Amino acid sequence: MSNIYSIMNIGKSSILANQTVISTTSHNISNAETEGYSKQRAIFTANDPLKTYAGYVGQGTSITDIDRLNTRLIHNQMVKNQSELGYYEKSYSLATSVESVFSDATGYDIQSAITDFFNSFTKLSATPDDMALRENVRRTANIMCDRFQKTDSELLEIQTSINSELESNITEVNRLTEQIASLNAEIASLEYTGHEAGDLRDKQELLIRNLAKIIDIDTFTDSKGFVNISVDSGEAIVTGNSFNKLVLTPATNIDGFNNGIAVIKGNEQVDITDDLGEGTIGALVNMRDVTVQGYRDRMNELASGIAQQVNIIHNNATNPSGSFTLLEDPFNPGNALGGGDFFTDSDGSGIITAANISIETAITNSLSAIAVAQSSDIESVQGDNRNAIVLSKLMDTQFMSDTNYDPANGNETFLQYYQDTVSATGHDVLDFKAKASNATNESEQLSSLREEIAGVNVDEELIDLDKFKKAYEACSKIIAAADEMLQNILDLKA
Amino acid sequence: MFYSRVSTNQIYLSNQSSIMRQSSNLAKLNNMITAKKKVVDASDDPLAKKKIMQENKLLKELETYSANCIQANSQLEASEQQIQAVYDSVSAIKSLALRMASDTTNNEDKTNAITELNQAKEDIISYLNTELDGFYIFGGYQTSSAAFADDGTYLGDNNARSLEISKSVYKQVNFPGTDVTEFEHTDAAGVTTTLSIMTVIDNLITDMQNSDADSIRDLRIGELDSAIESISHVSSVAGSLVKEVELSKVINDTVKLQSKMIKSDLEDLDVTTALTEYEAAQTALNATMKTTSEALKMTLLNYL
Repeated sequence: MSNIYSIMNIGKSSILANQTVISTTSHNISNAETEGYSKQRAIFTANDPLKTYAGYVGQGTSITDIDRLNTRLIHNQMVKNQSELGYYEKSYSLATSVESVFSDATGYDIQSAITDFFNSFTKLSATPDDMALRENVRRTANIMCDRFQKTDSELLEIQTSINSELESNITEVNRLTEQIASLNAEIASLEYTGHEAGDLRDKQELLIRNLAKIIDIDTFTDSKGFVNISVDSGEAIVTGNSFNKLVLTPATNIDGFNNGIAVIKGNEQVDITDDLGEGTIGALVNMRDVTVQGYRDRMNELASGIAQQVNIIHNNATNPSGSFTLLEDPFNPGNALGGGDFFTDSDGSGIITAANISIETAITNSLSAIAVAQSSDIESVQGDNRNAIVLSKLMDTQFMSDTNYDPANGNETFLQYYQDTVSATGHDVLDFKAKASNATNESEQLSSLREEIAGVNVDEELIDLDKFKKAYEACSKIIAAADEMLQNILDLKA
Repeated sequence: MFYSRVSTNQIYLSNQSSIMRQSSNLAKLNNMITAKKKVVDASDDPLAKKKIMQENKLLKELETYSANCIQANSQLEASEQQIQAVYDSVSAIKSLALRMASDTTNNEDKTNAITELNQAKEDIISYLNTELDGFYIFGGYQTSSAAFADDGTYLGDNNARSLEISKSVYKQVNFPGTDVTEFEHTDAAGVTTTLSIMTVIDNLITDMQNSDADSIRDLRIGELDSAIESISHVSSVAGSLVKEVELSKVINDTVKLQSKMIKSDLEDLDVTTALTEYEAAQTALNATMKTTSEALKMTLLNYL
């Protein structure tokens, strides 16, 4: 049978329930700006009624659960989107750096250097023994070598800076997986009661999205509620409350920047470099090993092609005599000495590349070592410009294929090959920009979708706060009424 | 009634991203206007960039051709001048020979004539040993030593240099000395031989010393005529080469102008259009800022 005390209890339970809901609302308001926070909701349930002869008498209310608005599906989409976003944002920013290496904004790029070099032979053909024109050949050749070397070192600089960026990204991945694994443990210990650990889940989901931006991952929630994470190659990096660290493996190339990435599993390391997929790390490795290396390879082909073709002609050309050093063939008196190589490798490796292309010491030492004649008669060499013309025409001959130096089947000139390279850097930027912009739009849409469901609207919470405050006041009235009833009865006795 | 929820955070974020997007657009336009170029980096328009680079290469080439035209012009004009001088000398020798071909010349005339002939030969040698910027122009490829010895022996070779003065247009810029001094002569008997003007002068001197008026009349005059004809031909070749070089220079300048126009179309910014776009972008940003500030002002806190 219902009594005054049970009325008081109804008031008490309602007051407590409303206190809880006000505190949930306050929690929502205070976290309105917290990244990854999901609005929480207290669920009121009517208490079990008391059976009386007159029927069932209600026993007030209590809060049976505080849940958060579920956005699991959007979260999963966000994880995938973050990897794309990380990949394309990073690729775009690196492609911009590569593009600027090839910029001609300073007015002196490789194209100008190559054009000036070959044109210096066209000019020299006017008076082949003019010292000033010969000096111009040597000067423009040096500038061209310098530009090649500078371009290569700038590209190398990008590769090495990518490497140090990889290092900090891997540290960040290890930090995140450690936190996610420890949250798995905490969540499990809280959720055994059957209630969701909303704040911790929010925190963990945010960490997972941050992780996905850095490295392409797959996630799987097991029956215990643990979120397990593996990288694109399938290697697990978070399993329950434990995590496997990522590590940079030692570099194997001469410049020391091609470190791989491995997952540490106990005593062994599993290399995942070739199977990284998207995410910032995927972009870094792809740009370092494919894109930037590709441009370096192209510059090597170009430098080597120019050097080889000039050397072939220069070897068959003869040196001038006349007003400066007479270069007579010691084994063949009366004959002019052949020109020998014009370009060489500065490091003695035997292969001319963009990094080591330089002019032969003989030419550095003497302008008369520049051979532009064809005549073998030493008397007739000084005014002979025939090989100067042949050298100048190398610029318009197709020695390059789309991809490399290929004198037999070439379909592009040196400059066309270079122009295609520059154009390609522009295409890279545009391509990555478009993809990064798509990923950003999708990211904004997904965030917006998530906010629509789970975001906090302060105005909404303020209305709730007001509503529950009123409810709290009403509940106090219940206790006041019961109290008055009790007093009345006590007064009867006196 | 269905309505989609809007979170407080969402209002901030969407306004923030609109402002960022529009600011970035505005900054891009601003950069373009400052640089007055619509294509600076390859990514502004990769295809246009490639074409601009092709024009840059062409412009550099044209500069080289212009320099070569100036070179070719000075070498050819110097040659033409000297060939003309040789022509004048040989013409004078012919007049002298015509005078000496008469039987009435006395010894004094003869001595004077021989002196004159020796002087003329010396002159011709000195004309053909002309240097331009320190290089002998009539020695073929041998530019560092005199083309003719004092006795008129040719020391050079028979090579002529070509110079590229316009895309794939090569012009001869020098004349080996023998082109000027040697000529073909067909005698009365119909026999054609190659003679040198130096030999003709030497023979003329010998004829005079021998008072051989017949030889002068029957042989030397004819030989001198052939020489004059040949030199006049070389001179006109030089003259027409000078004109061809001048023409190439004009063509180069025209191509240069066209190339500059193509390049300008590809990379220069239409500032008026860009400014209009800039203003539009600015208005859009202003509008967003205004609505943002209004939206952020709205909160129930103002009323509760």
